[in-house]
Amino acid sequence: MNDAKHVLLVDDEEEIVAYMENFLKRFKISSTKVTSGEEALAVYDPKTMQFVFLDLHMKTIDGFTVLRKLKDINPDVKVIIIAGSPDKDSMDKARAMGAIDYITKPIDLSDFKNKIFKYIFEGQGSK
Amino acid sequence: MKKNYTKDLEKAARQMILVRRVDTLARLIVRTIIRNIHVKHAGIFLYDKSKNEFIVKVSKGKIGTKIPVGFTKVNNNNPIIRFFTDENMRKYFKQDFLLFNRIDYCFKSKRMSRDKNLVEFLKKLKNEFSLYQAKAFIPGFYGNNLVGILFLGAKDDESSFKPEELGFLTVLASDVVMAIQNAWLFEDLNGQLEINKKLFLSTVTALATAIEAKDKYTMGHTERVVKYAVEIADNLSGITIPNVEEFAENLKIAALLHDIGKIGISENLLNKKSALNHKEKRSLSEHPLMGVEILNPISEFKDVLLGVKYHHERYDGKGYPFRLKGNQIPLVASIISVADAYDAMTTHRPYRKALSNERAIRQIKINRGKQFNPVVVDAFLKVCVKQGTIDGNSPVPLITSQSHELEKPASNAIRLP
Repeated sequence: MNDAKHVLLVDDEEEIVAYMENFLKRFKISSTKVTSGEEALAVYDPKTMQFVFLDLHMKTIDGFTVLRKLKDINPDVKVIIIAGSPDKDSMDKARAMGAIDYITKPIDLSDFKNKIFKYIFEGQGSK
Repeated sequence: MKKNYTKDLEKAARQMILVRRVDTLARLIVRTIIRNIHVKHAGIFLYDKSKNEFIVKVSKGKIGTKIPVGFTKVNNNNPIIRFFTDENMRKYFKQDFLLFNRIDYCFKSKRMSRDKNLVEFLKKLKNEFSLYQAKAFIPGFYGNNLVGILFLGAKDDESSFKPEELGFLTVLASDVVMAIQNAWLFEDLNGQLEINKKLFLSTVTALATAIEAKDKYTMGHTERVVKYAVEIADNLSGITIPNVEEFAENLKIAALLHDIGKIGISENLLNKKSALNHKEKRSLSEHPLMGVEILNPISEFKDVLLGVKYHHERYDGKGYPFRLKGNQIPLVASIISVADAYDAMTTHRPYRKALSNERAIRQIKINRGKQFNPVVVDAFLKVCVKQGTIDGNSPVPLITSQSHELEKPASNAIRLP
């Protein structure tokens, strides 16, 4: 388990990545936040970013493409999808592509916090 | 110094009555709160009937601090919701609002700290406060139903909420609930009307199709009239239409239904090859009125009705059934009139063969300002030029010897279906 708690936040809504950054900071998790798939791929650093919170529906490159490319760069990257709607096909597809979880908005903050602890601090969800 | 909230309350209440959309209303409320009680962030969880959960629908504050709209939800098991809805809580609390400061106070109370379940619950509740960085939750009830929860972050100066501020917020919350209920009722009604309208429309459209089936010469006529009418409307100039989208929608429906009144006319008469006698003519000329009677039940069709009722009126006042003249005839009807005439002329009829496009266009042009509204005819000709039906350089088609007799300004109306 890596000691540095640092994650990449990808969502085309500025408000959401800003809020998530603030939220994670409370648990001593620092973030790099970007608002597009292009930026995500440009800044992704496999050495420091073990976890990625990834929005599925973005304007230019969609979440699936970003997920695939991240997996190409680092097969061990742990990607948690944050989607706008619960869609069975997308869920299955994301799982098949190696995402460790698929969270649907609106989210329950306490569930969200529990998941963060489970994955980031307890190291569960490894494939 | 105590701030006088009475005025703000009155103002907010007055605005609320005017707002019928729940989201707009909730935004207005949060803005009023932020302005009067300076908090770092505030928002509203609104009950979503279809999902049976409370979703953050409005949120204000600095980016990063404010909870993004639609990002979070709480369900009925959440301690915040349970605090306000669980009957057992009434033993311990007055449930008009929930303050962070009060929870610590509860832990110290002997009566409450004896109850293990309650202590466990309060811990969870405290955790929710910290998750949402909230200092106060204020419920909005309608009867016994919780419909929304207002949440407030810490005040800018980190001071605690004053009793008069809490009073202001609770009054606001109860007003809000009333307004939300009204808004929901209104949305429901609107939705119901929308459904009724659609149902009615599809029934009537089915009827319109049935008429076409009855009148074998008018296959596809309705569809084409709709198409022509829309094209004409798109090319109108020199006329201002207040609400273009609404006008276009009504025109489309009116064109679709313009002959709906023919439901009551016998097939024999509709398909008759020989000249019509007086009685038959009268019976046929009543179809616009029959159409109005059929469509009358739906009040939203007011403008559509105008199109159906007056599509056989003539610009020169020689039409039927009302002999309206010039601009007395609603534009919707004037447009359908041209579209209808053009399609009637260019298709085979029981009493004559189809005219060529050129000859039909020429007839329309000759009747500009006579049978037809000149502005509408101009738009129609523009469409013809654009579509290459006539040459833009010579808008009037060449006169040929065969067509000559038709070009005498017709004393009789072009016989329409």
